[in-house]
Amino acid sequence: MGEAALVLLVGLGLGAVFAATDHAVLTADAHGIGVPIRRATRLLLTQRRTTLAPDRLLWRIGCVAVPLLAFGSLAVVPITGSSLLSTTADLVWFNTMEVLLWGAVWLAGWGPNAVHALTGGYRFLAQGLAYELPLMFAIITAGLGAGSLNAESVVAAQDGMWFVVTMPVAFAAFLLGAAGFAFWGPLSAPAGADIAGGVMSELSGVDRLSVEAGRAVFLGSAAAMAATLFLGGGHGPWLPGTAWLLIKTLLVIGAMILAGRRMPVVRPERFMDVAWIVLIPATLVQALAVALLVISGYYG
Amino acid sequence: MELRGRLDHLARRVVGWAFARPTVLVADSPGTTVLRWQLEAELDRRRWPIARSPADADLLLVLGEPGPNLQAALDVVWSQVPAPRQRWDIQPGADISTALDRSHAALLDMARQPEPRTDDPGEFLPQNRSHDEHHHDDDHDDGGNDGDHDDGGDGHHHDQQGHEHGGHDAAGLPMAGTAPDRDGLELDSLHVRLGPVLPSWPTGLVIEGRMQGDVLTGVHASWIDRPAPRRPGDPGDPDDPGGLSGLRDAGGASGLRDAGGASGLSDPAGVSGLSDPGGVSGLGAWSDLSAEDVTLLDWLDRLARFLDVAGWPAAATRTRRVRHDVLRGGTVNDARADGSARRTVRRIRRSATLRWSVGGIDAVLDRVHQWCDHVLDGVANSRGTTGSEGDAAGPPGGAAGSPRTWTDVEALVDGQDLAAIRLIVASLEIDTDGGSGASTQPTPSTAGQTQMGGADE
Amino acid sequence: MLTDVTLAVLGVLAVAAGGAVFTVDSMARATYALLASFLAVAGIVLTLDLTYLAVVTALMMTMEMAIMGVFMVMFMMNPGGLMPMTMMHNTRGAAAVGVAVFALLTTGIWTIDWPDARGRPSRDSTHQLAEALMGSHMLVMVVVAAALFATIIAGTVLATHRGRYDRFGPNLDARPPRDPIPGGLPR
Repeated sequence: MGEAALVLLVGLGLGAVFAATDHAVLTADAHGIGVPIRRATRLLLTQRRTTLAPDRLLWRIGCVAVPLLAFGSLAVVPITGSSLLSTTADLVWFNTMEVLLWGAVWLAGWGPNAVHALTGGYRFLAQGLAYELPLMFAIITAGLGAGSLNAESVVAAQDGMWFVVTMPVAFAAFLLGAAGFAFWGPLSAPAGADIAGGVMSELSGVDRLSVEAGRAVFLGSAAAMAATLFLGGGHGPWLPGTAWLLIKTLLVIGAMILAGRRMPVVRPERFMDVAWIVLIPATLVQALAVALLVISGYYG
Repeated sequence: MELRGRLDHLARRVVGWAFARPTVLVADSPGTTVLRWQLEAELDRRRWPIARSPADADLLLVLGEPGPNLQAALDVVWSQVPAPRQRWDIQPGADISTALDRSHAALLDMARQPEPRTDDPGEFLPQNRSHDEHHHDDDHDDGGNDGDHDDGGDGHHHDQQGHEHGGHDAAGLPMAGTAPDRDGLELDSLHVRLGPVLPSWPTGLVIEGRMQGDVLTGVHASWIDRPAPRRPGDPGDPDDPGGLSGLRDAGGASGLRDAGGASGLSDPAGVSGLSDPGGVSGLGAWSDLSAEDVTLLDWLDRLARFLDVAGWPAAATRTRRVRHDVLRGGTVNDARADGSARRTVRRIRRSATLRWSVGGIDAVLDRVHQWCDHVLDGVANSRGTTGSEGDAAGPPGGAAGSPRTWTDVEALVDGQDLAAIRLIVASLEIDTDGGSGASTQPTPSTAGQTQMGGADE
Repeated sequence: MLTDVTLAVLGVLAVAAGGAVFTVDSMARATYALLASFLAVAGIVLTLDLTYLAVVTALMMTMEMAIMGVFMVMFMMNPGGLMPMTMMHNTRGAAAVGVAVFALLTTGIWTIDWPDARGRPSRDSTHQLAEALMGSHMLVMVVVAAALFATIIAGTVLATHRGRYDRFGPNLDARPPRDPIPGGLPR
């Protein structure tokens, strides 16, 4: 119970930090610390509108699923050294949460029966076909190095050296994938301004809160997972492991936002080419390199 | 009792805090461009965000006096704004700050006394416009089980029926049918209408077409509230008030030009002349803005809106801030505006990601780069210095490869996907103040819902 | 006990969601009902402590259904369920085949003399599964994987109606290629 509450709390905290930092960078306004909380309150007080002939059931399922999946993905991150759900396939679990998001986001776009929302849903899936394989290879590369799909084991395997040293490509691909599945920053075409907010365009009130908060929590969770898989998780001198994990997570969040907001949206058709012609081979070569290191006994 | 009073007080404070920075949807009627700039400057100063769609808006601010059709479109937009909400008209010359204060106060009042409100979006849609004659023999839509899904004949048949109408109406919306797509596949096809009110879209412009996936074909472009026949391809008659106003001519020579003067629209704020960067006319109350300033503001405005559409909000915000500085200073000689303008615009001009992401669509990138060059030149000239990295810039207004007629525009956007269409439109120098059309900028979206409904025009 | 109840509930859910595929009247709902059925099956596998198999099932099926949904919506009529439609084809034949297969499988399940479990389940069932599946067949699996992938690519190449001559011209020297949508990299 306590651990579930911790996941909830850390998830909300990281999501709020991500949203606040993002807002601050986006508007060059440093006073935005309370913005996410204020916005959440405002959305709670706002009417939940509907559209003409929506598929209400699927729409609601899509909206509710986004935050649930976000917290589900955080459940396998060993925040206190151990995670809420410690399984023998944590990494695949994280991957699955993120893939279930395909369905959730598409449903959120499909539900309202509106052109822009549906276009956003299509874009999300199209983009998914681009970032998904590199992301999978990145995740599996960390598992390969550790010889285990359990997140705690992956952290334990980084006792001597962080995986980012031998897996820089996988680290970058993972962060890119995180931007992709959270449709944020350069990969935010599914919620783009050119389609009036895309999958978000018809959401108001608690529905919008659900999707926006879920997305922020997912980004925070992805940053925590990146710190876990590639930056040694809780490893570090003096401070307790949880503190180190959170510090690293915050640094990843900061780096993501600074890098992601420096550029415009990359249109999906452009990204598709790069993903399949550059990223997939690059992540495969990365996995091959790590496999060779594993065989040579480099990781002990 | 006392506890109740305290709780009420607390609730009031929470509402006040939650809605301290309402999200704003701006709808600008023709001839209100400068008013919009001022409003946006004030909104940025207050840190009130601009909404991307009606669903996320608290305030709908209507600038100037929209024509009847735009008014109708705004009614639909308004029906999509969730409560608590306020709709406020701001006329040129009005005190913007007061208007914002009042609308905000009214919004808070409404938020504190929530009244159940249910607008049926369907009420606003032209449901019963006689489509019935098209309704014969659509029975193959009913089953969907007789194995004729990929029968090409069906699609053609629909096609002939009228492109906006693939099958039945459901809930007042025309259903999608199937038709051969750009690549020859038999795909779902829906008649879609972009505009007249969308974020960073020239308010009043309507682009209609058949959408398959997100590709639009059979495109038809028009202006709302412009009665006279505008015929694409006509060798625009300069004196034709209903002519091809709206499409600003790049060279400034052809008859396409600016309806600002030709249509005899008298703009209360007097800034209709924007269409012609060379000679701004009728500044009226804003006569403290020099012609160069207005031109510079115009470029900055177009640039900011393009960046919004291109999905680079950080750069768009910065560009808009430069615009606010210029607007406030009334001159580009303001050192701060100058410096930040250069830095901001240079960064956009040099952005490799922008070049890569946007490149390949028509000449969009060239036109945007020219705006950047113009801004840099404008800043340089006003400082009495010359030269900038972009001396490729031709005479002001001479955008590269600008289409000259509406047919050209339609040809440009036909067969493109939604993103490309938005980018192309954002890169065209469309004069929104002209004619009795409508004006510009971050405005509501009549997102899909309404457009699907408003299927004919 | 709890496991039994969970399994029963998930089993019923899987069958019900599978049935819903044929009763709902929209392509989107049919697709996602099928996905719900698969997810319930994944839940069953998860309850049986085969974590890896469960999450991989959920992952693969979600991707497949999400993509399939788009194709269903785009190619079929009446995607949105605003009109009556049915997913039933050849009702009688399908019913006969369904009943026959069900009878066969059920008979098999109840009549086969299943071996008793020996030893204790491994702590890391994922590892055990990998050994069982791949351990001695790695070479075969690798070859099969490459062959399957080659088949997919060959199928796509054969299916596309635009070949390289359409893109690069008769002499294969047209640059840039004639594509409806330019890609993201120089060709």
